Amino acid sequence: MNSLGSRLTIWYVLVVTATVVVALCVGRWLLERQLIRGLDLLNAAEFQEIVDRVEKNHHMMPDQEVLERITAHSKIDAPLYFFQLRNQSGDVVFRSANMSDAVLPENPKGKPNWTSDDPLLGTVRAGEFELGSMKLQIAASLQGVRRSLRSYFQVSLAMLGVVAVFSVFFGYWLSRLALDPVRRIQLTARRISAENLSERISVDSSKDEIADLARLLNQMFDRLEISFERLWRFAADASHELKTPLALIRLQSEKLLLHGQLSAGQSEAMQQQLESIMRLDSIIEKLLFLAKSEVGGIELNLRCQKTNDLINAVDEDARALCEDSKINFVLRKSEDITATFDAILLRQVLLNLITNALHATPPDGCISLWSCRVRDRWQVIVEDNGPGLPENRVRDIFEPFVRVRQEMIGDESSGAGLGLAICRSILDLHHGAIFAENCRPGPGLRVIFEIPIGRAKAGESGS
Amino acid sequence: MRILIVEDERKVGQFIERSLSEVAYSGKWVSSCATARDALAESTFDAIILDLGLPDGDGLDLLREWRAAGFNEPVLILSARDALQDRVRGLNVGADDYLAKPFSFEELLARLRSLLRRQGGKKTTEFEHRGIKLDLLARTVECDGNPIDLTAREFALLELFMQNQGRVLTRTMIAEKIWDSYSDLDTNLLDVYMRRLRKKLESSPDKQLFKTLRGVGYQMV
Repeated sequence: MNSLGSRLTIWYVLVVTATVVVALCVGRWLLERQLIRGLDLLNAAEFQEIVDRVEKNHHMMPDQEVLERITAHSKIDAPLYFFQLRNQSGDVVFRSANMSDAVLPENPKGKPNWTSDDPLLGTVRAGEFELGSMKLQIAASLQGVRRSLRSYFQVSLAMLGVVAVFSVFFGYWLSRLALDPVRRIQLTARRISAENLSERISVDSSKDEIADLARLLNQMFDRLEISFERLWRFAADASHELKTPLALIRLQSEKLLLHGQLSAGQSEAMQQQLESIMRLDSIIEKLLFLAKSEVGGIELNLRCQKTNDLINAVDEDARALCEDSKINFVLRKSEDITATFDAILLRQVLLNLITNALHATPPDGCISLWSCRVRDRWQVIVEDNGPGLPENRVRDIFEPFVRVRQEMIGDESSGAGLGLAICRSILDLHHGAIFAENCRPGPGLRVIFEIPIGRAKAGESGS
Repeated sequence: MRILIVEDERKVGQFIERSLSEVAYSGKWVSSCATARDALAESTFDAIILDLGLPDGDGLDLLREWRAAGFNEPVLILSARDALQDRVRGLNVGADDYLAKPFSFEELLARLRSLLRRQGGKKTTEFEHRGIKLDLLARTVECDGNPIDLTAREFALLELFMQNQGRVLTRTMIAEKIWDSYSDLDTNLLDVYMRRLRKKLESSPDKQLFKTLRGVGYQMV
């Protein structure tokens, strides 16, 4: 689940739960009010019963008889009600037996009904009624109300739990539903790369926010496509504009060399000029390769093939090169691995690494080439026993125009320092990696490259 | 032999035109797609040298057009664009060969000759040259009657020279044939192999089999 989806789900759960909590609280308040109002009505009904007992033909009986009748009535309703009678001056003249020592307070703030706490009676709901010149106070315990509210609370809690659980599922489903168009945009956008910049996200006719977003993205892809096209054109134009004059210089130099009747010194100068032209051409070619691979413009000729076929082909060339420089060459290859790679480009990498090693290795030194499988990767190591590199420069050697080794051994002849940068971009195109480390115990440098096995499918072009 | 040169850069086009005439080819230079169409409509050519970056269109479109119209003579693409991809594209459209700028005239000539020859070539499996015998089927090499042991690359290289006796083979042509590379190798690999071949085949100092053309290539003499 992506993070926005989970956040949406959490928000949904919170909102639903909070709403239910508020609704239950309001329900509780209404229920309590209703129950207390019921008690007030019962108190009033009880008073009416007492009135019926103490009145005869709409006249009050004498006080003594009234008291007796109330006492008798209070005994009958003792489990439910407390009775207290105050005289005109407010003194308590009668209390029902079930009240023992407790006294109901005087009517606070002149309200006909009120709730009061008493240490002996507990919380009661009381009402005050005029009985002749006296005041009759009738109270009922709130225990029943409390009990009802407690069970309401329990039921609410259970309901809340159920709602929370359901809202998690429902919220998840809802967030998926809401994010589904986003996910579709994501899928398309991920598919769009340098190779198929013309593909667009499909936008339905609706005018909602997601469709707007898709439209915006499509506009961005339009601009991106135009910039890429410009870049291609720039690369092609730069190449054309640089190489055409270069071609002319080369053609004319060669002609001079062949038919110009030059002196030996002039011939040599012309020859050097030709070599510089070739070097310039090779630098242009490499820079264009690097620029194109940066923006995904190199199409790999990927084939699922045996790594040892490549290693064997390189072996013969490496052996010839090393023999020529009087350097030993050792090849160690493990069992045959099948991997997907561009053989021509990887051979270029290997020959480049071996040539670099040759430049660093002293005569009678040794260069080793290892090819093996390390877990799910094909690993190739080229190791020399030259001086190695300063530890802080080991990472730099794959940057363009960095020539650490050449600086160290004072060799100015070999290349512009683009070879290893090209190697890295070729490995990047293969979703692989290349790195260097000093041999321990030294001296020597080890350059290692790795390519995942069975990751890329045959025929897939590099992206 | 009449060669049509389609090249937008005047100086390069004229240079090729002039140089071709010096080696007894008749070149005609045009500088745009439109003039190239006119030239081909007016007369016939034995081969075309075609630049891809033309002011009024893409050379590949022109080539496609010609091939669709039934023009079957060899076409050599001359381009300044990135070698590998344009090369593949060009050959797919129907070009016979591809040469990247900056190129050497020797190379252009060698390729042109090879293309013109290809029209009526015959296959042989045994070659002999100055005492060296190469048998493609048995994969054996003899020098003055003695069997010579060659590695796979050395054998392929010698085979290439035997098939092109007396002709200049440029470094790029050799790299293409032997290493499937589309440009000169970044290493001195070719020179190393040539040294090895010489050591094995040139039995006496006065017997020079391979002539080095500095910066250009080699020639079997």
